[in-house]
Amino acid sequence: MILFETIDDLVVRHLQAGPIDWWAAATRAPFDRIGFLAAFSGAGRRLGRGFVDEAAQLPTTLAEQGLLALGRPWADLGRICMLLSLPARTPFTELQPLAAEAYRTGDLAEKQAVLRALAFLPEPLAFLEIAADGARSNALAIAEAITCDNPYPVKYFSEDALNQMTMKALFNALPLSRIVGLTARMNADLIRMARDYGKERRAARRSISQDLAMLEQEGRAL
Amino acid sequence: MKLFDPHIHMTSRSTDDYEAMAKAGIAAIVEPAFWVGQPRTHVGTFEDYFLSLLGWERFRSSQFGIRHFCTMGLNPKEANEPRVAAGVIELLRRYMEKDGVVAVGEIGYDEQNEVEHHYFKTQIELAREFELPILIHTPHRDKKRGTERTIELVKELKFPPELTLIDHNNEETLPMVLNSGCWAGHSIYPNTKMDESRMVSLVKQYGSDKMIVNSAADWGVSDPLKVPKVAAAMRAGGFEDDVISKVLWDNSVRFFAQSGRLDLDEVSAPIPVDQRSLWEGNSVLRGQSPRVDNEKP
Repeated sequence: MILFETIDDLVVRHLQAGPIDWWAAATRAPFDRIGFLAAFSGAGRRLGRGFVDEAAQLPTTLAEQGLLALGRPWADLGRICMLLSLPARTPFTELQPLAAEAYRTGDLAEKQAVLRALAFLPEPLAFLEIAADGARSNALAIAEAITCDNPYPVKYFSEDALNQMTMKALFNALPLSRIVGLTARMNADLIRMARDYGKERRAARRSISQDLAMLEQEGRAL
Repeated sequence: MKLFDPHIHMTSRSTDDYEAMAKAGIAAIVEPAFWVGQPRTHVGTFEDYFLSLLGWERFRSSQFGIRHFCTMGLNPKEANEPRVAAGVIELLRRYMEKDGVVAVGEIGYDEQNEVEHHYFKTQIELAREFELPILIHTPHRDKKRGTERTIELVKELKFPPELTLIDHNNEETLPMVLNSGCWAGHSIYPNTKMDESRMVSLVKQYGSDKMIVNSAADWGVSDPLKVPKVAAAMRAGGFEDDVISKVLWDNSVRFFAQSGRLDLDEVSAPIPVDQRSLWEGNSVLRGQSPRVDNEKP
């Protein structure tokens, strides 16, 4: 798990003399379900409230693999790393239910981290239900975590699910440019939905966003 | 002036309330877990309630630039419900670790019976284990005796008084709460509990140390703007801004910061409601036109 090691290295440097023992237990100790979930919850205050900035000198590996870290909270990166530590510590049969529980019982930030980690776990399709729930969420912070800057939907969503998510992004004014790789999955049904939506908005004399106009034009400028 | 409402059940309130609260200067709130107007009959309903306090409600609040924290606990009324009580205590262990949880509460007495006593005690121990302060509800009926018993229990368990906030005080209970070294909460209600002018008199008489004011607004007849209304009443009563700010902001921040989960710098930083930008790393932009405060031309 090269990605795990890369993030682990970043977090250790970030923590410096901080709760390094806590971090070691959260990512390396023999696996214990309750302990893991508790550490996952408490990661916010232990990793600090700061955001990852240029000073972190992010290695290119992260961007190459499609993981956006710059500008995100350290706790988010740390929680993703904790999830990535699991394949080496627990059988896959336990990993899926654990990710599901971390998501189900998570607060906003925990849910976001689970959604951002899904694409980097083994057998990502096993986590489709979690991703779909995230895309359906009415809390924009959660929907955004699966919709934006996340390689998961374009790689693993069905066409219907991807179209629903894209239309929801339009409704919520989440920029389509943040749906990673959307151009590759452009399809006739999505363009039809966009054109119908455009007609609805024009009939109601509402504005047409640039993203909607672009999608009506078959996403050519995307 | 920034104001803190350290006890308000926003789950029961509308977005109009959030908007009015933000406009009136409320910048942070604590939403204690309490009962929802009728008894719940399944532990699972509590779990969804806890999750909504950490998720949806927190998100809703952020849309109005208000920082949202919560407390977790089995309330005294439903401690009497054997179908849920023990199960909720088990559940709490899972939720105490959460970042937005700044105390164990509301806990305490309602009828002041043995069952309530048992769960009150259990949850004080839980607070000790998770290094959290406690938020205590005092009963409506036989209030003075209930408050005495509360103070006795906190003392008996040697729980630190500086980590204890005893709520819903009135003229009869306040002196003993302050003498105990605990923090004293006051719920300003339209008809019952405490009102603005009595609150002003209490601060005049007892000073501003460890004094906390909240609206306790919920699903009943209540007013989410009671904290700003107390600010106005205190100003009219001749108090300087530093004292008003101490009672209506600093004291709540200081008390709940003891949880280690309410960052002083973070909570003190102004949050411009700029829905185009990121807030706590989350875009809060909605389908409607973005609302932007203090935009430069």
